[in-house]
Amino acid sequence: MLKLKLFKRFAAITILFGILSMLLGVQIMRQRVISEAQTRVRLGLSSAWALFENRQRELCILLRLLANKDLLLRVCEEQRWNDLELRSRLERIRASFGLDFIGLVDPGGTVVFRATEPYSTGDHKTADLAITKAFNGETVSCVSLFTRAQLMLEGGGLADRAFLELEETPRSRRSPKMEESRGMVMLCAIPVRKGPSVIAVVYGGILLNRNFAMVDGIRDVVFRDDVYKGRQAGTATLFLNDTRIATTVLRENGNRAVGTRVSREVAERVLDNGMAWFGEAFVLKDEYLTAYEPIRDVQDQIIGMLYVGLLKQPFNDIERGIVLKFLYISIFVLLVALVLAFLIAGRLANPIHRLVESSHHMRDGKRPEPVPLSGCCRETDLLTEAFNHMAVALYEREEKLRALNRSYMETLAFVTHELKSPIATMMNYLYLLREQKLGPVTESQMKALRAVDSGGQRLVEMIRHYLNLSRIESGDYTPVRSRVMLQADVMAPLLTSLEAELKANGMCVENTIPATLVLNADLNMVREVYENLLGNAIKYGRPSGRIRLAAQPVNGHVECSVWNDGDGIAPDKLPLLFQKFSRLDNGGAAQRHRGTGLGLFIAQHIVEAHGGWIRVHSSPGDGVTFVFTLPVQRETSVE
Amino acid sequence: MSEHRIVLIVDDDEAFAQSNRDLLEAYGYEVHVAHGGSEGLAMAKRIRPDVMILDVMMASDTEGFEVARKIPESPELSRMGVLLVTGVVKALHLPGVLKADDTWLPVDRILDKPIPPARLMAEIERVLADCQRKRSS
Repeated sequence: MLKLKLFKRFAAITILFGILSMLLGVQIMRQRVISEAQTRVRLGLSSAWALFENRQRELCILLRLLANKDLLLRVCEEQRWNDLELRSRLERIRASFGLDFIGLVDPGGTVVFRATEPYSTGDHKTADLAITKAFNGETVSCVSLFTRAQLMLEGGGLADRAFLELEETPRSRRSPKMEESRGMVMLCAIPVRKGPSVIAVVYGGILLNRNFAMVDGIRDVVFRDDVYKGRQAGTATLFLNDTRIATTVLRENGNRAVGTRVSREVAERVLDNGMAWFGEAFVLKDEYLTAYEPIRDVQDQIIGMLYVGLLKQPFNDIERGIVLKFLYISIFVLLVALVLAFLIAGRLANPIHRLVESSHHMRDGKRPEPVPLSGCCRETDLLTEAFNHMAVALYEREEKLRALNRSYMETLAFVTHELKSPIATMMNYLYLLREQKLGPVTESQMKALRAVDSGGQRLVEMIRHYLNLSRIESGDYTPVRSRVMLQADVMAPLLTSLEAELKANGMCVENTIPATLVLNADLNMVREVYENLLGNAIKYGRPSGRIRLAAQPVNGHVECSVWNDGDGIAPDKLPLLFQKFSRLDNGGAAQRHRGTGLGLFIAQHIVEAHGGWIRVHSSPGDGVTFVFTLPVQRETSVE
Repeated sequence: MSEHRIVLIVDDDEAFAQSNRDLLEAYGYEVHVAHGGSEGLAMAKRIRPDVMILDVMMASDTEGFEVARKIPESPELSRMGVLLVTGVVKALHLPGVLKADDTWLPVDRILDKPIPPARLMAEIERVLADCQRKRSS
């Protein structure tokens, strides 16, 4: 069906492109959402650095102010390192500005003063590059690693605060190390000058291990305090090497995840190769959009990392929401497109369907109804118009032909009918002459009379056939059934009238039709069938041959057969036998007896009009049998 | 022909009627010819034929039928056999065999033209035999 076919094609194209655009759309949207989020994380890292550096700057400013303080200058100048006033002042300043330690180093590199309990002094800082640089007159601000011993010297319990037990973390690098005793500090060293010469260096710093205020601050400023499904959406962490020393990331028990370690991939990229990491990474068990950058010490060695990250889940959820919405819309649009495709297929196919229907209508010989124009496209309208014109023209032509044929058939019927009486007159006198009722006839006259008689017989047959044909053609040849004794009403009179002809051909008829057989059929039609079949049997049978007539009731019908011992009919000619005007030119008998070619056609028409069938069996050398059925008279018991 | 039989031919085709007359006379029948329906009826009442050969189509297409229907009205014709001859058996949708008690068309036989002469005589003999049987029963 055209409509279905068109719709299937349209639908296939629509679905294909629909799915392609959906896939593409989803892909683009995902990338867009994630890249937006990633951008946010990058910006977050920049902000985190800004905050970190701001804190360093604050430290520097404070220490610079200290370095210019009269009291400090005086103490350094006079080397009165145990000045109690200085100690109490600096200790107050340290506490109120959130510093973890402040100390003074003399030009010999010896720590001479500390503002934190237990105020230990006398150790050397000559190996410390920051201090050395400060003695060279530079202001140094850096991040640095202090050993446990150094932290203990700085006092204030820093060593204990810095101490971390390490934990095995999934996805992290394996390490035999069980603890981290070092501390990462934000350090500042300022030269104390007298004139051009540096007479001491004042240094101070903040321990970053467990410095939660700093990471909380960073997180609060960068990501605000957003919580997503009970978890902090934004996180910030300071790493010492790959170990979290201060973080907002929480463990499942709610404690901060200090002592856990970064994943292997991040460690390799950031710590080993000194590059930044932007992308998705596992932070403990959750997936985060992350940014890591290395933290370097004064010698430019990588000692740790600064990290900020956003929980990926919210973005996944946003993405899923958008994608679902997009899919719903796409599916809706797809359905609308399919409905449209269906309608369009219908509009394209309908005119063609109507044309097909109309052509079937015409095939059945009915008057064609004009197919309405659909108006959907010009080409189909043109086709429909052309079809309508053609249909009308064809119908008119057919009507003309039919009328012509009818008038031809009527003329034929009239003429043949009018021929009947003169022929009958001639046949009567011929009969009298041949029977010598009008005086004796010589042998040669008798020969001539026989020839005239046979011509007359043919003429009579032709008249009968053409009249029947004209009735069949005009649909006016229907049986009028009555009770017909096959033997008495049909065979007896027929065989009587054929007697002379049979005798002339030396043929004998074996008639085994039961006298009791009664048909429910049209007498004249049955006579016509037998007349034609017997006529053929005489014409095409062997001279001095036999004709066998039989009939028996079979399944509520009477099966009749007419056999002759003629030459038989070639198998390829058999189907042609019952066609109108068919004459089989197989030489011999056929050439001698030119018939109308209508006898079997009429016989078949008659048998079928009675609801029966007619067949022919023939094999060369075995004679020809015509078998046909006629309806039996019901109330008669047949023996 | 053991007996002297009288046949009346009612047919408006003079040549055909004449040929039938010659045929039947050659076989010993006494033959009379009428060329119209009413003439035929009148002649039948006068000469009392044994068989009437009646043509259907004469002045009108069904004159023969009208004649046939009038025959039973005359009791003197009750013994007469009627053979209806027509070229229109098939066109008029008539059954080929009529029963004796048919009143709408009281004829003994309907024959289709042209009738082979031998057959015509066979049919006449049959009708005569039927009438004989009727009479004797």
